[in-house]
Parts: sequence; structure tokens; C-alpha cells
Amino acid sequence: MKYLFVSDIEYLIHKRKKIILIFMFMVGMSTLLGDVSSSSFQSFIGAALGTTLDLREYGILELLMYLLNVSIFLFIMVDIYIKDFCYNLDNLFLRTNPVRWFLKKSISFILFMFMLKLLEYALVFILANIVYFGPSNIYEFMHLILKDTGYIVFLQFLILTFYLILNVLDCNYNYSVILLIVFLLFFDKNIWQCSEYKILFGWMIAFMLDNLLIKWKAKRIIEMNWR
Amino acid sequence: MKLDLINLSKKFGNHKVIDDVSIEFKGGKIYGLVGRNGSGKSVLLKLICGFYAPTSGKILLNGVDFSSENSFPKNTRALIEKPNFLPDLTGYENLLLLASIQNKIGKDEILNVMMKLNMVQEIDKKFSKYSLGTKQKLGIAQVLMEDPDVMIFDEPFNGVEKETAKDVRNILLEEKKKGKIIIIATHIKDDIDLLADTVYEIEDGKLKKISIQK
Repeated sequence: MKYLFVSDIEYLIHKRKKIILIFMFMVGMSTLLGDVSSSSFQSFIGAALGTTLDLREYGILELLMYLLNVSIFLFIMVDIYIKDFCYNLDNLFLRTNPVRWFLKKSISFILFMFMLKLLEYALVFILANIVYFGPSNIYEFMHLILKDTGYIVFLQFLILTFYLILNVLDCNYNYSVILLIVFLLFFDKNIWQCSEYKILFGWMIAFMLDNLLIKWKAKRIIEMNWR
Repeated sequence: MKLDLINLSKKFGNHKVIDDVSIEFKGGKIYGLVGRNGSGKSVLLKLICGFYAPTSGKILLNGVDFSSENSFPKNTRALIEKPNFLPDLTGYENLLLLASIQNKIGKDEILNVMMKLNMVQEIDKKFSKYSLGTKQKLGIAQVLMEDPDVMIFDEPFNGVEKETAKDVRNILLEEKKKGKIIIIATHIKDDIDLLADTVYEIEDGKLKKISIQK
């Protein structure tokens, strides 16, 4: 797991540094442009990050931040998993089998996502406290981070499922994005009102499907990504 | 030690990249695989590593079939295409991290293999600062370090200076004496002539010529 964790961090720092910096800049900007009249710190963060999106009643900044929040993290997901198939085959897959790799990678990845979310929220927290509000409740804040991480990780594993299914069926990968957009139209976009059980159940289904696809069709998936 | 390819074929869409190849690799021998770029060498190596499933045919390592979707060869290491390591870590740290996946070897074995490959001066240098030849040597080191039974190299002498190539050849000859199966693919036949016991030539996915040299 140590190898996977270090290699993922190195990869993001070297190859995806710009994307992460732009994302953090956008988070900072949306916090500074946020709705100061929000009744609470929580609803202020929700509006700034797009995590309380309601399609019947939304601001353009909130919608943009929701889409940015989801799309950047989904891109990172597919990117980080697939890079091992594209660049690391002889180093990695002759030393561990794909199923064991997937389990360890997922633990390392979830930890990593939590760290990224922590960074994102820390930025909002600091800016919001300096500019608008007084100190907030740290427990409430941690709950928000955990729930947001859970929601994003669920969507990440779901897009990986779509991606792997399309890989196995030899279809265009871009359809996975279309499938996810269709899914999101019907799924809760207000992260904090979305039930924890729904997130956990959805994540478990997606995780098991990914695991089965990798177990049954490992070589097919490798072939599609490393031809 | 025995590795058998039996009527192996691989198709991508309608294009047959490997066409009914049968080879028996035995321990204690070095095998050369020559052919121009795009002849199917790399695909054959990926099939042998278990990264691709064959369209038809079988691959057996000591009688165990690993051609199905979820089985991979045991105790096999390979350097295919260009070596890929973490740029911000030193060569030594990279090998140490890779070794941590299986925990079969420790620092001593890693240092030993780096010394054998004349990499002592590069131990503390970051991978990103390595020359092409040194990167290639590190790739060879990751194949050798865990003492595998089967070693597969795709163009191992790419960018490697003459002196180092000689060192690598000597190391491979030593490994051969230990009973390992060593397979080397290259498009430069001269590299193979000095090393291989048997040379196979591959063209358009078919084994065209077999020359037994030794």
C-alpha cells in the first residue's frame, strides 16, 4: 500500500499539479464571492462549494462549483486508477494481482481523497473565518468534510464502474461521463441532505461491481488501457 | 523450469498480431526474439507476462496454465518498453518501495544489485536526474533484484553505453547459469548474437526463422 500511496501522490504532484491548483483557486474565489447573507456558516460553505445544490432554486456560482467539485474529483479517480494500467504494469502487476491491487489502491485512494477534501475545506474555513464569520464549530465542520468525502468517493467508484463496464464491452469511454450525468440528474445533489445510508449502500454496490469486473476481466481491462 | 507457448494467437479486432506461435522455453537458457518494430514482439512479451489474454492457445509455466483472464505467472519479472519510476525518489528509494510490495528482499539485496550494475554513484540521485542509460539500468535492476525464475526484457540495451551493456550481458550470463529462463526482445540482432542460445525471428506475428546458435 505504501508503494501505491507514494506513487499516487508523486503522480498528482508531477502531472496534475495545475489542475489541483486551479481547483483550489476556484474554491478560494467562490468563497470570497460567496453569499455573505447566508444564515449560517454551514449554508455559506454549501453555497460556496455547491454542496447544497437544488436544481429548482440555485445560483449560477453554486451550480458551477458543484459541477467543478464533482468533475475534478471524478477525473482524478479515473486518472489515478487507470495510470497503473497504463504506466506501471511491469513494475506492479507482476508483483501483485489486480484484485489485491484494487483493494489496497481503494484504501489508499479514499485516504487520499479525504486529505484533498480536508485541504479544500481548510481553505474555505480559513477564508470564511477571516473575511466573514467568527470561529465555527469544529465538530460540525469535520462532519461536513466526512459527508462530502463519502459522497464524492461514492460518485468516483460509480464512474469507475461505468468506465470498466465500457472497457469490458469495448465501447467509447466518454459514454461513462454521459451515464454519470444521467445518473446525477436523478440523484441528490444536496450532499448534506443526502442520507449517509444511501451513500454507503451506493458505494458498496459500486465497489463490489468494480472488484468483480477487475477479478473477471483484468486482462481485458489492461489490454484496453495499454494497447 | 519450463515455459510453454502452445498455438498462441492474439487478435486486436480483426487484426491478428500473434499468429499460432508455439515455443518451449527451458531454464538455464537465454532466448532472443528479434523483429522489426511492430512485428508483434512486445505483444508476445505481454502475453508471456500475462498482461494480455490470448485469443486462442495456452501459456503454461511449469505446467500451470495462466492464459485465462485472472491468472498471472508466478515469480516472473519484466522490463517492457521504457522503465517507469517515481521521478522525485532516488533509484535506491524506488527499488526499496517496489520491494515493499512483496517484502521478499531487503536493503542488502537492493544495494547488491545496484552495485552489480555499477550504479553506486547513482544511489542518491533522483530518478528524474538519471540519463537514459541509467534509467534503463534501474529498470534492469528491478527485474533482477527479487531473484525471479523468469526474466523478460524488451529492448534492454536501449540507450545503454557499451561498457554497461557488457556488464549487463555478464550479469545475464550469470543468471542463466542459475537455471533462469531469460527472454530478450530487440530489433537489433547484434545485441542478441552475443548472448542468446536460441534466436527466434518474428514477422507479422509469425515465427519465421529459428536459428540455434549454441
